[in-house]
Amino acid sequence: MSNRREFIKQGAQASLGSCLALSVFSSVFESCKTAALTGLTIEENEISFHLSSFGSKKIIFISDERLKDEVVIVKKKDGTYYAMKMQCTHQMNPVRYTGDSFFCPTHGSTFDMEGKPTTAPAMRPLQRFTTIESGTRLIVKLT
Amino acid sequence: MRTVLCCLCACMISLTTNFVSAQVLTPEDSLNSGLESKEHKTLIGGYGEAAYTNNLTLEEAHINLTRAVIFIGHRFSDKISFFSEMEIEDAKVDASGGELALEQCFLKFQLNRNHFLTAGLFIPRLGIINENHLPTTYFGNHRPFVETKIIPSTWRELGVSLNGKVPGSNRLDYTLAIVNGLNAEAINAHDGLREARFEGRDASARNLAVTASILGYWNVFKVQLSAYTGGSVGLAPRSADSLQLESGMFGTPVSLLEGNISYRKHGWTIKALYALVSIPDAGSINRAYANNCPEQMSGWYAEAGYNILRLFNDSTKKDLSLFGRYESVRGNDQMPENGIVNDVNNFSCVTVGLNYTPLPGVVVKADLTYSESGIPNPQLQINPFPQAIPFETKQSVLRLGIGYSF
Ligand code: FES
Repeated sequence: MSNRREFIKQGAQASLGSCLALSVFSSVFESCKTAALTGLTIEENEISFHLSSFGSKKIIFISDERLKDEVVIVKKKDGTYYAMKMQCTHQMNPVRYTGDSFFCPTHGSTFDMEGKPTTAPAMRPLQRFTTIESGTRLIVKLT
Repeated sequence: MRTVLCCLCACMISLTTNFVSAQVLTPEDSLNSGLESKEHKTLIGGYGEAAYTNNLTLEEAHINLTRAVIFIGHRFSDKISFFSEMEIEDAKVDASGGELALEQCFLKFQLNRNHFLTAGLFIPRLGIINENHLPTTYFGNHRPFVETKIIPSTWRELGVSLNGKVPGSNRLDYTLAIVNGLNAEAINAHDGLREARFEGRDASARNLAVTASILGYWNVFKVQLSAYTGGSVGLAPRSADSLQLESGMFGTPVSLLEGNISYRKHGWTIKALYALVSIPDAGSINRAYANNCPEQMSGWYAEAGYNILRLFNDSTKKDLSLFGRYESVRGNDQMPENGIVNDVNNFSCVTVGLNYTPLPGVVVKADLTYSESGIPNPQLQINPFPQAIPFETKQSVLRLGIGYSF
């Protein structure tokens, strides 16, 4: 009995304590997000940056207050790129990157790396944006 | 419990502070800017399920349109949206049963990219099924018993909730909500907290509850921890005093702690969940209402399913999952001295079955549940044997059903 009470207490403390601790460092981490992209320009319907920003990375996220939604750009094995809106197609909540897929915490939908839905309730793929390679830059058309 | 509350409050203040500091509100990106958006959109959706249930032990069968739900959402702007779900249970509503109810009805305010606030009647993140209750998303015709008996899904209340990504993390989401509390008078060991919910209708607001969750996602794993604690007596102090109950914000508290983990990869879906409800003042509640309130309830389940079509075609879009689930429910895990132990409320069951998804949004289900409970307390039997049909502690139930969501 007392063990279970302790469990409730400690479990709740651990979960809420970690939430508190992480939130304390929020502003530091949040400001690092898109800083790694070189030559980033964000205009009304277009994002552009130097391809060198990828380095050895296969995936880049652009999270900027000027954009309505976070954008993910993936470099394929053949060296081409595709970009998607990080917004769930079920009820338009933000999706998260899990390491090898995308996940919507609101109702649990998942999407594969290509944006195709793999777990209900979402049924439509993540919205894609056109990407254009222009010299050393990558342009993402947001319309 | 006080420590938990302190943590919750500190957490809420801290997160709120972080929104304010992380987001510089300008005329362009404030909530108001969205009001001028041209993107107005109304969405209609829905889900429903029907099932044939045959209790093979009692030789009773029935067929029922369990629920049909209409979803209506409207996007007022990029920042403000409306969501609602209207549910009809058991096809029609009359004196003999059925229910027409709002399952959700809230406004959502997008504070910034990573955080949003909901206000109204919403479903807090507690367990798996509470938020993800579409029939196309879980195995079997019946929702897991742990998530109906111990966590009273679908559990919605009125309040305000802050949701989003844990700042500084790419793998954690949080929810933090204040909602109306429960009604202690309606808590009992058989139905748990189910009848104590207000579900948006004239909820007592002198007692409140705080609920929070942390959800982590790492590749194919998802791990969640959620907690709820709140007052269950919303009476005016004079009425509460006469019943010798503690009223007020967190008076006569009810707390719930839940943790779950899930894995999904290569056609496999594996989940496990544990939930514990604690009502330390159950003795006082029983003295006031004689409702047989338990001091503690708990339950857990573990399930695994595999899409057997993958044995023939690795990249199939169809899904025919063979699954099995074991559950243990303890409705009177701990009873106060003035409570009556009824072992019927403690049971375990195994469900095995098939879920067939020919295409996303449609599911056909077939499953068999074998359950084993304790024997009924003879003191609680109004018409004992031979007037009453003898109680079967071991029962087998076959269910066949369909479900949809769009
Ligand atoms: S909004 Fe993403 S699953 Fe519902």
